Amino acid sequence: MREPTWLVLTALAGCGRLHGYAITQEVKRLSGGRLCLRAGTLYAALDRLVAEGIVEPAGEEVVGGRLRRYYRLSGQGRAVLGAEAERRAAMSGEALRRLAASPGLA
Amino acid sequence: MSDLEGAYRRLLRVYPRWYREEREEEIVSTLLDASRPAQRLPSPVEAAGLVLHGAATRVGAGPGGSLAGVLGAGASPMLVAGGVFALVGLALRGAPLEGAELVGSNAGLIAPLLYGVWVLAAALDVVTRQRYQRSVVALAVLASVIAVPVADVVGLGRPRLFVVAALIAFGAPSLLRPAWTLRREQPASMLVGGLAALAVLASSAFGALGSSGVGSLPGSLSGFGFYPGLLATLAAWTPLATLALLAVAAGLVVAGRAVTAGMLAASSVPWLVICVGAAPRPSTATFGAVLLMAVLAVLAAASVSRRPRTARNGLHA
Repeated sequence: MREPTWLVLTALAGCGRLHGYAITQEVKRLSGGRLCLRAGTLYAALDRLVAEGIVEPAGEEVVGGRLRRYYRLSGQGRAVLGAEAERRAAMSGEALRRLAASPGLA
Repeated sequence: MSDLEGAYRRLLRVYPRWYREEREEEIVSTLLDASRPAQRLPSPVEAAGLVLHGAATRVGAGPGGSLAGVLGAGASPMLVAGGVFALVGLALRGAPLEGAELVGSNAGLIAPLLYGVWVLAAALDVVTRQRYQRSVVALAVLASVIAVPVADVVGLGRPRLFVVAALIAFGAPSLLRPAWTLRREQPASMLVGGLAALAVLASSAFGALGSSGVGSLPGSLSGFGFYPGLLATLAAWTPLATLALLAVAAGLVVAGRAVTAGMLAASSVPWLVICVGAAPRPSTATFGAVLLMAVLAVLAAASVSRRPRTARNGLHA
């Protein structure tokens, strides 16, 4: 799973449902300001994630004359994100363990 | 409407109409939310992203507009195209293109066998379950790859170089597509898309092969003058093919389908290259074939710019 996808799913996991701009803001915050998702990339990713059944639309509303469509993680999406998180945690744990085992080589 | 909003809406015209009908308001909202207070023009990075993903969506790259999406959208039509190509080859007893002389007494045997494998693979792909698709296609591609050495070993005439290359190209997207793009298309759209893919691929392959000098290679690749003979025949098609493709492209520009026209015109470039060399006079039969190819290419354009079912169902589920 690539970094932007990982961050989009993580953003959705903590917030129930988010609209497009809120997703970009949350991704920016999660990445410590490193990743600024542009609209073209964001909607390409959302299209793909919806097609895969990982993300699902979760209603629309008009705010200040602008249409906002909301998205949330599907049940399958929660499982996919959970599996990926465990994989990443295991890899991180392994890296830390190896660094701790060889402090003098750093 | 502010200048910035107008500029964003103009940029979004790169996306196909069906996509804009569903997403334009939403995307414009996101873009305006993300804009700076006094901003009057889209940033170059933002504009480039919209153009890139819009163009990818328009040419049928599917969700994500990525290479994976391109492969996923093209795999099944390409496979059907391979089946149709093979059927035509079988119908013409292994000699799908006029003027190609056979070499050796049993020269026509390997190619029909290969065509048979491909017809079977395409048929199985349509009727069997998705999880078998890759295995079936892999077998057909493998048969194509080993056809030339097998023909040499058993002393039969080789299949045409173009035939082998085209069949492998037809199967490649199916082998390379990621699992998430595996879905069952409607048979009718697969057929139209397949015929269209056949037309566009054939026009490009003919031109590229003819202009690359592959046919003039000595020894093993040229096969005793067999392939140069084929390419000389193809060369005869080039002026008419170029004219036909460009005429259709001009018609599409008038009809407001500029992006589609651009794609079509681009596919005529290999023909233009081959036109530079001297070519014999084309026959009525080649003229007819070129016209047919132009018609199929238009069907291709219509087929790829259609709304994919996943996008429609996904947002209104």
